[in-house]
Amino acid sequence: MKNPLPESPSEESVEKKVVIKNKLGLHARPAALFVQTTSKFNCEITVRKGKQKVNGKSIMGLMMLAAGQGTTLSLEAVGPEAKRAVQEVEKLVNNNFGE
Amino acid sequence: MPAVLVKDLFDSLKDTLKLKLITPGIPLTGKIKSSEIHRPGLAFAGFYDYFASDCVQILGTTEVAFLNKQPAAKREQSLKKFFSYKIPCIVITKNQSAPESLMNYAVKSGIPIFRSPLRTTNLIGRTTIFIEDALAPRSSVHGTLLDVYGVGTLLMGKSGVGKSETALELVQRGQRLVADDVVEIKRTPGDVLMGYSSKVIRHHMEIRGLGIIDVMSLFGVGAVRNQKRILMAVTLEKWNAEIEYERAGLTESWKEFLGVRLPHLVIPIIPGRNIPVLVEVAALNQRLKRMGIHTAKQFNEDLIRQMAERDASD
Repeated sequence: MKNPLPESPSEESVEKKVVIKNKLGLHARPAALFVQTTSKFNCEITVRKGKQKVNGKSIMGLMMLAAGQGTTLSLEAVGPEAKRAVQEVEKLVNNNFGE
Repeated sequence: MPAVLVKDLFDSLKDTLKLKLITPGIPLTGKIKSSEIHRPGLAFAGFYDYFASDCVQILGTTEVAFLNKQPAAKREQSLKKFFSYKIPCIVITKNQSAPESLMNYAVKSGIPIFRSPLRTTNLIGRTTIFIEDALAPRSSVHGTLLDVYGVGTLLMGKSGVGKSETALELVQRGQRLVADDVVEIKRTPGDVLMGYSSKVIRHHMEIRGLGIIDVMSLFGVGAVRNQKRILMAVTLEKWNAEIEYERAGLTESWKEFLGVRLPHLVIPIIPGRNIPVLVEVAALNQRLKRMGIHTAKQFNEDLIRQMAERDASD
């Protein structure tokens, strides 16, 4: 019988900057899409705008940033699915949240 | 280094202190780096060894009278030295008129002078409070802050663990919401941690399945607070069989925010545990402790004493 390989908890750590391009900025609907996306992945994700730092899975936090068009946000994710979480958020932002 | 702009000081205090800028056109770009207030009496007399130049300089009756009484040449000399420092601003109290030479030097050096009808002590008090608040160390945490029976209780835990749902139930039970999701914290003098909400999301919550709700409109003004001193942190987490949770309540655990330690409890969540009730009891227990009654300790001392008495009578 073959011994199964011990599961290695792969801790990824990713940092990425994105620019909000849709006209109305990160209002309630895009913020909802943002957290729906991040919540799917097993990772801790923080979003930073200047000195303000919020949890990337919290809609109120994201809306608190009041990130209008042209704002640069830094995404920092840590955890087994950090890379994919950041990729998906990037896709969403670059698609202007479908707006 | 944190600093307050003179403009911010003026904008925030001009109504309460009835401040008037008497050097029109001088830009309010100076930076105040200390909450101490300085009265430059000794500096005017020529003693500059401990001159706190980065503070607001307040001229009361003494300072103004001293300047007016000095011989002209001497006054020129002390003002020349005084204005060679980078002073943020000058405030003259009791509506005194500024000595002409002081005005001239201030305009020449680009340092604004304000005038207030308030008395010196009163003005110093209010100005200090404002600057201390503006310079207070700040941070923000992911969590929910409530006033539970008067105890500022910070609920923490991972996204989706049920902080907002617990908070909603607590509000329904008559407790007050301060901030949901993002709690802003500042450390004020006396190692006090004040928690409040950012203006954008104040008194609002997000509940999965319901969306964004306005707690003040739904539950009334009695269900919310704008700020509250934080006295306790509670972390909610999924029950983990690997972890030993506190049973007796004898070991105290702490969590540090901005260098201030807060009592910290971890409440494990499993079906059948009424978390809001547990949070309320934890808050009440914390109040008891602050009033000098530590139930777990006293219970244990009684137990030990009773055992000792029994042994002696055996």
